[in-house]
Amino acid sequence: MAIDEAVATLHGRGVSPPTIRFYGWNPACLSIGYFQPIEREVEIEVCRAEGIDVVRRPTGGRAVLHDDELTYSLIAMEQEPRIAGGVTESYRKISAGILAGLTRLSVVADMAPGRGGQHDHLHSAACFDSASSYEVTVGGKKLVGSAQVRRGGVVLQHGSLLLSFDSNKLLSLLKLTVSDRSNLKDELDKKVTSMASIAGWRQEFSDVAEALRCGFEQALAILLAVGPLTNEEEDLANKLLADKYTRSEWNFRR
Amino acid sequence: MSNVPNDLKYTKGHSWVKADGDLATVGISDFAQDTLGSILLFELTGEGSTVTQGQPLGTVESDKATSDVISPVSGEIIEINENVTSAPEKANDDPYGEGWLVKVRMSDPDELSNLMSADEFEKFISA
Repeated sequence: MAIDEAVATLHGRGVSPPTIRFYGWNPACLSIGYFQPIEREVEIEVCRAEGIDVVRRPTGGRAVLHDDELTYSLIAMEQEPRIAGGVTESYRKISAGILAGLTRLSVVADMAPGRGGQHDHLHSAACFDSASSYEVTVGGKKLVGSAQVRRGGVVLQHGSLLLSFDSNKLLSLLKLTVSDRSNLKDELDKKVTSMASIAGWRQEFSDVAEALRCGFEQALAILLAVGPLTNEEEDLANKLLADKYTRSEWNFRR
Repeated sequence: MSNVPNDLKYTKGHSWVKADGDLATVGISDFAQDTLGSILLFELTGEGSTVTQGQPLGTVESDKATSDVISPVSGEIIEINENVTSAPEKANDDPYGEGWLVKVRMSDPDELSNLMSADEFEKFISA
C-alpha cells in the first residue's frame, strides 16, 4: 500500500514515470476499503491470532484477503490517453490489459457488463461479492477485484488476481452472523473463481506476472522497462509505512 | 448525454458552483456522478474550515473509485448538506439539486472567472 502511494505521489510530482507493479503478500493480509468501518466488520483478534496483517487501503471497496494472489497496481496521470476518459473508461482500458495477459495463459476472460443507469448499493463486507462494470470474470465468476483512487490528478488502480481462493479463510476474518456467513459463503462460491479453479492446477506467480506484463504492453501499446524502486520511491514508501500504514490512526480511522 | 446547467460554473475536477453574492453552493457534476457509479460516502471538510480553489474539500467513495472533491472557490465552509452525507445516493439522483455538498462564504468572488462556463465544461467532458 505504502509503495503504491509513494509511486503515485512521486508520479504526480513528475519524478516517477507511469508505473505498473506486480506483487504478492507475505504474510497474508486483510486489506479493507478506505471508508470501510474496521471494528464493525473485521474480526481483528482472529487476524492477529492467525498472523494475518490488517491494513486500510487508500482505495475504496470492501475487505480483500491477500493470500495466494497476484496484486497488480497501475499508476498514471488522469489524462494519460491510454487510461483517460473517466473512471469507467479507465477500468475498461486496464481490464483490456488484464484480459490480454490472461489470454496468454489460455484463460478466456470477459469484462463484466456495465451496470448502465442502475445504481444498487451493495452492503456485503466482502469485496469479491460483487462485480462492477468491466471487472474481469471467467465463466461469469469474478477473477480479479480492483479498486481505484484519484488524487491530485493521478490515478492509482490496484487489484487482486486470485491464484487460489479459500472462501472459509476469508469469512473467518469478517464479523458476520452465522446465517450471514453461510449466505456469504454460498455467494462467494458462486461468484468467485481463481486461476487454480480455472486451470485445474495452481499457476506460478512469476508466470502470471510475465503474462500480464505482456498483456498490458499489448493492450495499452506501451513498452514496460523492468526495474527496482528508485531511492526516492523507497524512502517515501518507508516514510508512509511508518507514518501511515502501520499506524492505528489510519487503519482504525473508521 | 450529461446534464450541464447553464447558470453554473465548473472545475476540471468535476465540481460545480452556483454563486449568490458571496455565498457559493458547491456539488459534483452529472458527468462525475455517472462516471463514479453508486456513491457510497462523502467525507467533507467540516463547517468553519477554509477551502482553496482547486484544492480538495473532501473525498467521495463510489463502488468503483475513491476520488477527491475539488473546491471551485476559496473561502469558509458555512454549511454541509446533512441530507447528502446521510444519503449519498442523492448526489447520483439529483447532483445539481438535493445532491449539493457544501455552502462556502467566498473570500474572493473574482475567482469565479477562473472557472469554466457550461459550454466550456461541455467541451471539456466530450474531449
